[in-house]
Amino acid sequence: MGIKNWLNTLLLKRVDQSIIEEDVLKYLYKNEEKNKTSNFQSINNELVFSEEQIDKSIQQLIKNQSIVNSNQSLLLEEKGRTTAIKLIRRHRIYEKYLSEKTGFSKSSWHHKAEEMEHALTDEEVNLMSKELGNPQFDPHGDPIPTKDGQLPKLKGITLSKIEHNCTVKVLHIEDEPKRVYKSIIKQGLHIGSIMTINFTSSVYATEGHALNFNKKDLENITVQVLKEEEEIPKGIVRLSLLKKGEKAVITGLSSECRGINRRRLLDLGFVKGSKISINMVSPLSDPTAYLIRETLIALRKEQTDMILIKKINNDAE
Amino acid sequence: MDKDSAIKSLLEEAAETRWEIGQEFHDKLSESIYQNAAHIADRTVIKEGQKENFNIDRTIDSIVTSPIWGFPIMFCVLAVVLWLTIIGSNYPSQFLAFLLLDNAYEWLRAFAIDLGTPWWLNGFLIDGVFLSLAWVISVMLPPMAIFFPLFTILEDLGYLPRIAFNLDALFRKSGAHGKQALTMSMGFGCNAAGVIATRIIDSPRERLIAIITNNFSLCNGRWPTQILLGTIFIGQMVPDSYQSLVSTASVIGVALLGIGLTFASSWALSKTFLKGEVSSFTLELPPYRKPRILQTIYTSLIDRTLIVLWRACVFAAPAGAVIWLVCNITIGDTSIANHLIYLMDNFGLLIGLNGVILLAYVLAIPANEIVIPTILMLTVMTAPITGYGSGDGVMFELDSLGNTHEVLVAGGWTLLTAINVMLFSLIHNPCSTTIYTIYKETNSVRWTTLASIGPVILGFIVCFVVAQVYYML
Repeated sequence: MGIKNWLNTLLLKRVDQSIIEEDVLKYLYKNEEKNKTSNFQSINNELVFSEEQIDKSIQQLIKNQSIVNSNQSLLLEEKGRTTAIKLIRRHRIYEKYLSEKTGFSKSSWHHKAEEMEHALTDEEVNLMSKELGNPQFDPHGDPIPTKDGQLPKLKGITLSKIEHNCTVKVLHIEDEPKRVYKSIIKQGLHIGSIMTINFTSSVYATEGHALNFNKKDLENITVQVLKEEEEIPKGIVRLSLLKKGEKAVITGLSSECRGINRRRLLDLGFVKGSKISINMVSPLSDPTAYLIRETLIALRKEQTDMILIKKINNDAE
Repeated sequence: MDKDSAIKSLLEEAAETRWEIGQEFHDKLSESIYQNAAHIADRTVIKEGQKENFNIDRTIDSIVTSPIWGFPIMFCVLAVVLWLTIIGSNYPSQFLAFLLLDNAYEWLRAFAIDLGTPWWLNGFLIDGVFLSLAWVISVMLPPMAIFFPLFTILEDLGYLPRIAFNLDALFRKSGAHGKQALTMSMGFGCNAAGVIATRIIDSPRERLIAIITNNFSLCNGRWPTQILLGTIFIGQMVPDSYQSLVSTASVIGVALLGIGLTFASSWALSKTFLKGEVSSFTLELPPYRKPRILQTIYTSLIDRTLIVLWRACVFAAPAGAVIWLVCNITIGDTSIANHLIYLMDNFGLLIGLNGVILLAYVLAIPANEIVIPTILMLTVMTAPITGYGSGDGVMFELDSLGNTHEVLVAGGWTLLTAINVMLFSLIHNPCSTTIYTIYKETNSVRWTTLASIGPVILGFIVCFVVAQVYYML
C-alpha cells in the first residue's frame, strides 16, 4: 500500500520481495480475524503490487510453509501467523512511538508505520517498547502483540451495532481507510472518552460535544457498553467549554494527550482535583489564561479539548 | 548474590511492576505529589497581602491584554525600546569611534613606525586585526548595552510573557510559539542573543523554528547599513521635504519584510523539515513585580552584552586579518581580492549586486558591522576613483553622506544595487557569531547548516527576481 510502493510499481522498480510477502501475510491474518476467506483474487484487489509479484510471493510462502492452499483459499500456517503477528507488533509499537515521541500529525502515523514495519528489526522494536514502558495499546486503541507473539483480542463492539440508549467508552478508532479516519478525528472524538447515545434525539455526545457520524464512521469505531452498576461519571466536559466566571474541578486528562504534552500539563498541576477558572482571554481570542493552583497558565484551544473538567456551582463554594 | 545480578533482578522487578501498574501511573504520581504539597502548604503557609497583589495584577492584566489597549501598548513599548537603542547609541558609538578609530588607531600606527616594524606586520596587526576589532566594538557595544538592559527590565517586570500571550494566535498560525515574539524582538538587538533567548521556549519544534528564523530580525549590525542606503539612495529619489520620511519608510519597510519572512519561513519549516519534531504549548504568566534595576543592568551587561561582544571579537579579529591579507597578497599582478571580485562580478550583476558586494559579504561573515566599511574599501581599491580611504585592506567609513554616495556610484552602484543590498543585508546568512551560537544551542550540524545556507539561497532568489523586474521596467 501507500504512495511509495505505488510509485515503485509505476517506475517498474524492484520492490523487495520480502515486503510483498509480509504484506500478503498481514492481509491473510487480518482476513482470518474477520473470518473471511482469502484467495489470489482478493489479495490482488487489496494490494498494489503486480499480479506476477503477488503470485511469486504466494508460491514462495507456500514453499517455506508459511501458508497452504486448500480448496482455492489460502490459509495461514503457524509460521506465517507468527510472522504476521510480529509485523503487526512492529507496526503498532512504531505508531505508539510516533504518538509519544514525535510531532507528526495523527493522520500520518499509519502511513509512516506501514513503511517502517518492514524496516525495523525485532530488537529495535523491543528496545522501543521498553523505552515506551511496554505499552499494551497503540494510539488507535488496538492491542499490541507481546514479545512472545500473544495478540489479545480487541474487546467491545462497533458503534454501528448499538441500537439502544446507553453509555459507552470509546476503545478503538480504526485508522483505515484514511478518509474515514480523518472524518472521525475531525469530529474531535477521543479514545478513552465516555460517550452517551440517545436514540430519541439521535445524538451521540461526548464530553459536552454533540457528534455527527455517518454509517461508515460508526463501523470504524469500537466501544464498550458501560453497565448501570458500574459507576458512570456524569457531567464531565472539556475545559474548552468552560465560560468566563465559571469554576470547575479537573477530573483528568484525555488519553489523546500524550508524550511531552501530557507530562507538561501534569507538571503544571493539571491533575485530578485541581480547581480551575478562566482569568483572561487573549485579544486574538486564543490562547486563554487559566487560574490554577494560584498560578496563571495560558493554554491553546486544542489543549483545552484534552483536559476534562466537572463544573462546580459558585454557591457551593 | 553478587552486585551485578542483584541489580539485574531489581531492574527486572521494576520492569515487571511497570507492566503491572499500567500506563496511568504517571498521572497518579503527579496527582499524589500535588495533593501532598497542597496538604502541607495548607497547614504551614501563612498568606498575607496576597489578595491585594493579586487584584493589582488582575487590573494590569486586564489593561495590557485588553482588545483595545493590548496592541497599542505593545507597539509603543517596542517602538520606544528600539528608538532609545538606535538614537541613544549614536553618541557612545561616535565617542568610541573617536577614541578607537581616530585616536588609538593613529597612535598605534605612529608608534609602529617609530618602532620600525615591517610594513606587512603593521598592516596585518593594526590595519587588519585592530581596525576590525575597533569597528565591531564601537558599532556593536553601545546598542547592546542599551537594548539588553531595557529588555531585561521588561522581562523582570513580567510584561514580556503578556506580549507572548497577546500575539500567540498569530504565531500559532505559522506553527510557532507566542514566545517567539520575544526572541524575535531580541533579534532586533542581536541575532546571537536572540538565539540564546529561545531557551524560554520549552517545546522542541517551536524552539528550532525560533532559532532558524531569528536571522530575519534585522539586527543592530544591519540597521546602520539600512539607514545609510535608505538615506543616500532611496531618499534621493524624492523632493527634499519628503526625503527623511521616505528613507525612514524604506528602512522600516525592510524591517517589516523581515517580520513577514519570519512568519512565512516559520510556517514553511513547521510543514516540512520540522514536521516530526515534538511540539507542545504552555505559557506561564508570572505575577508582576518591581524590577530590580541595578541588578538587571549588571546581569544583562555581563550575561548578554559582554558574552556576545566577546564572541563577536573572537570572530572579528581574524576576519580583519583576512580582509587585509586578501587585499595585499598578490597572485600574478593583482591581489587575491581583485581576482575574487572579478570571479564573482558576473554572478553579482545577474542578481543586481556586484563582485565587490559579494566579496564583502563573504569577508564580513564574522560581523555585519564591517560590511559597509569593507565595501567602501574594496570599491576604492577597484573603481576609478582616488582621494578616498587609506590604502588597500584598510577599512574606512566617510563622515559625509555625499562622499559615500560618490564612492559607491563610482563603483557602479545604481538604485537597484542599493535596493538589493538592503534586501540582501536582511536576507543572507547569519554572522558567524550567530552560526556558532545556533550550533551551541541546537547541537546539530543539520539545523545549523539549514539556518546558515537557507537564507543565502533565499536572498539570491529575492535579489535575482528584483533585478529582473527592475531591468524590465
